[in-house]
Amino acid sequence: MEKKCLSDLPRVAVEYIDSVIKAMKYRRNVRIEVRQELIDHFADALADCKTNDEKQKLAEELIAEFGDVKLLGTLLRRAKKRCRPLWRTMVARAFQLVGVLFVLLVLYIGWFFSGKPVITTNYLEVLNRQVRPVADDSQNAWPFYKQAVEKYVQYEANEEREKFDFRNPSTLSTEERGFVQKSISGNQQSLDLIRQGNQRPYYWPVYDVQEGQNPELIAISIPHLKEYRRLAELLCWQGLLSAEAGRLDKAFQEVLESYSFGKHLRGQHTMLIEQLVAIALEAMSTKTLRIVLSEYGEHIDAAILEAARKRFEAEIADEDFTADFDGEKLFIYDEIQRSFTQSRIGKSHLYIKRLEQNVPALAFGAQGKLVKHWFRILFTHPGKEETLKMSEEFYSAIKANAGKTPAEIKLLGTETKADKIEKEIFNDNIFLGLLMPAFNAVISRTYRNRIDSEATLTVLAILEYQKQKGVLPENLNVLVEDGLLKEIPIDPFSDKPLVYKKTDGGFTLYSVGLNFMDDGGTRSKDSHDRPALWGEGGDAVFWPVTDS
Amino acid sequence: MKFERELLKGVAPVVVLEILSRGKMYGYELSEALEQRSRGILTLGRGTLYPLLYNLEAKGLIAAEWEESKSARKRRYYSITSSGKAELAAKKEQWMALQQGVNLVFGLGSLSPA
Repeated sequence: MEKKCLSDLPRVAVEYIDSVIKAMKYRRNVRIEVRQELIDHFADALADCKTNDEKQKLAEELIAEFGDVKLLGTLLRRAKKRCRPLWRTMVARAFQLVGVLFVLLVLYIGWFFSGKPVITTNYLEVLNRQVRPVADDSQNAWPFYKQAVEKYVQYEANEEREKFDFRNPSTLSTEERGFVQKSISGNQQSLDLIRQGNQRPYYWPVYDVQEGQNPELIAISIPHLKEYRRLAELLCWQGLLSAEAGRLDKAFQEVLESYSFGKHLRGQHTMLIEQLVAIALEAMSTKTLRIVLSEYGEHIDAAILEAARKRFEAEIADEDFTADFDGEKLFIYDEIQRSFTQSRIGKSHLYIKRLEQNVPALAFGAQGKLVKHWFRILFTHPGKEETLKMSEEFYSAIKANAGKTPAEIKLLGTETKADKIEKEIFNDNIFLGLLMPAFNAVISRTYRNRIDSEATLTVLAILEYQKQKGVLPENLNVLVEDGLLKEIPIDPFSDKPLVYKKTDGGFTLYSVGLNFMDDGGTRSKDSHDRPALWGEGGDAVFWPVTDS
Repeated sequence: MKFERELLKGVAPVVVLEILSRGKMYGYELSEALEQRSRGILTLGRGTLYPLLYNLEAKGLIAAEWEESKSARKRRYYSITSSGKAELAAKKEQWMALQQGVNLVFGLGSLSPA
């Protein structure tokens, strides 16, 4: 029927109708309907025309009455839109909304990924200023230690390190003894440099990055830490071998050189990793001291013991065992300025490129844990200012924690402020969560370090007393009264004096250890069920010394 | 007679409803009927007719349905709905009042006694 009508209509009418329908720009089925209606209208109007000329003329008049194609198309579209059912309107609106949101999202992502950090502070320079005391270069131990590292020769393979666990040298196999002796004699120059460095009143490293790298703290190379540890081990082994050879005065000297080396490495406001190495070196030295005392104590005369005690006492008297987070703080600040975009319109946000480059792959994982956090990173992650504020708060809370003994913190019963902030950080701030070290663990380690040194000094004092009097002291007060100890060490895990008990074979001296409970001197064990000084459960027994 | 566009705009829907209240019609028929009934005084621009019909349909005042006409062709017939009737009654009342007011202003008549 429509075909017939169309063929009856003048070409000009058909073209007009088609143009109007095209201008409608609406759903196809609606346009078909409207087109039919218009065709009908024209067909009805022209029905009475007798000639084609008449039809043509009337059609042109009708077209003039219908008016402008575009306007009519628009009016028809608008009117038809109003006719659609509510659900269709809602679907259309929903699609429009999704479209708008998508466009906004694309714009936002464009804005997000075009942001770049602006570097305002050279924290490498700040760190170098911070670690340097008011002293001239000749007072710095660092150049000596640096040279010692440069001259260090490693003889054993990395996997053979276990052979060097400190113990009675008589238990060394011929091969192991060969290794130890070769390592010591081959590194005499380095060991001498360490001794020379120990004579300097200060230690401040000069931090730098490799040539061509940006001066950023994440790139500073501290490659010498492993060698520091090896050299300290050699000093300790030298001490053990001297003790075995009956040179006990020399033995104490060597081991205490190792301790001085560790103490020196703490420096002031250094990086946390260096402080942890310093702690490890000190713990290694005190352990060796106790082994020497345990294995060769019978042969040590009172004068040598007294000299060793006095030197060790002087060594730890001015030692600040507290963890220092100032170096680490600068590291976080530097990383914040490099990992957040500068505030522009809206807030600053994480700079993904930096995170991908410099946050270790293991943090995000090969499977892209970053993707898992995309929503948080894109929309809700705290910006630069909030992150700075959060880290400031955390550092001041952690500093307060560092002044409290583990027993005090435990006594508080509830979460400390630092714990709360730490939890908040791990919930809200991916950046800080990844970069903040486990501060509480570090703090606990510094207290272990302190009591380890004080307990070793106490052992020296007890043995000296025994040498002098021929009997063991009844209690630790006696040592203070006799001037062998300045004060009784307080166990930071109980906030009570270290536990000293006379036993059938001698005496026991221990801290209640990480479980805060007095287990009667039962040694704690490590995850392999071997006796360990600071293992799970049990006490941290400093004396008697185990075989392990 | 040509009317001002704005003047016609308010009248057109009422007039269309009035015509449809007398029976269903298709677009062309409606435009012809309007012209005849108003004796040629009122004519809807063809460009206005269909948008107006679709708007009235969207408001639910008229309904449309494809039906076969007398000429055996399918036409889209428009008929007034019940809400259209109610609307028409209300508009008519307003219109009468307006007409009376305008007449009074023009001095063409007076208020009839209650």
